[in-house]
Amino acid sequence: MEPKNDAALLELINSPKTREKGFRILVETYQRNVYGIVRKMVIIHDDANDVVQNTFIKAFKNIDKFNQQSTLFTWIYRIAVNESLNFIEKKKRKMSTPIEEYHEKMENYVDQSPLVDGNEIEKKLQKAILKLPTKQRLIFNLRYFDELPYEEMSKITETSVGSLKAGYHHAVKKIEEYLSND
Amino acid sequence: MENFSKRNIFKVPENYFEQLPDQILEKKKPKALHYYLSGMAAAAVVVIGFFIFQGNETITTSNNYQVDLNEEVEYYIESGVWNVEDVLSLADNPNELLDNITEEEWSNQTWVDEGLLENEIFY
Repeated sequence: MEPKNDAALLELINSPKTREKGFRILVETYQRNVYGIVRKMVIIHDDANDVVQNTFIKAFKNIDKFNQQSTLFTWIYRIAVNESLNFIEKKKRKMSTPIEEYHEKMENYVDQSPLVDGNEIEKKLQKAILKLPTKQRLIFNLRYFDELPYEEMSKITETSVGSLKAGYHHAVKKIEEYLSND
Repeated sequence: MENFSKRNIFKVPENYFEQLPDQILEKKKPKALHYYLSGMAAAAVVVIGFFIFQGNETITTSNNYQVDLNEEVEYYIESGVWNVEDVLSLADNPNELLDNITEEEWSNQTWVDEGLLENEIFY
C-alpha cells in the first residue's frame, strides 16, 4: 500500500481507472481505526464486522459528496459512529426486553468470548462502560481509549465541545461510582 | 480511573484485517453486476421487442406479450446462452444505461447524516 494523503487518495478515487485501487487504499488506511471505535460500541465481533463493512460501502457510495471541509479520517469516523448508533438502536428495537437483553448479551460476550482477552479489571471497566447511555459511552470511548481531542470529537459527533466535556465528566463519575460500589 | 489500563482488549480472528479489504470490495461488486445484468436484460427486451414488432405487420394485442418476452430473455441469460457482453451488444447506449441504473440505485440509499442529541449526553 502506498502512503497517501487525502488529496492524493481522492484523486485516485475520482479517476475511473484507479477508483478500485483508491477504494482499497481507503479501506487499508482506515480499517483498524474504524473497527476499533465500532467494536468498542457494539462489542461483538460479528456485529462490528457488519457495521465496518457497511461503513465503507456507505463511504464508497457517498465519496462524491465528501466536501473536503474535514479530513477523510473525520468523515469516515462520522459514518462509522452513525452506523454504530443506528445498529444499536435497531438491536434495541428488535429485542423483546430491549435494553436489558442487549446489554446482557454484550456483558456475557465480554466475559466469555475468546475474542476478548482482558484481565478481570479490564473486563470490569468494559462492563461499567456498558452501563452508560449509548451516546455517553461513545464520548467516553472516543476520549478515553482513542484519546481524540475534543475539537476532533466535536466534528465527528456534531456536538459542541462544552457538551462533550460535560458528557465525558459525567461518564467518568458514573464509571467510578459503579466500580467503587462493585 | 488512572489505575485502569487503556489497552485494547478486543481481538479479531486471525488475518482479519488482511482479508477485510477484499471482502468489502467483493460485497460492492455482485450488486453492481446484478443491476448491470438487470439493466442489460431490460435493454434486450426493448431491442428484441422492436425487431419482433417490425417483423410483424399486425400489432399484437396479447396481454402476455411483454411477459413472454421478459421470460425469454431471462431464460437466455440464466441458461448461459447469453453472457453480459451479448446482452450489452444489444443495447444502443450501454454506458448511458449503466450510469442511469447506478445513479438510480444510489439515489435510493438513504444517506442520513445524523447529529447527536445533546440532551442524551447528560442523563
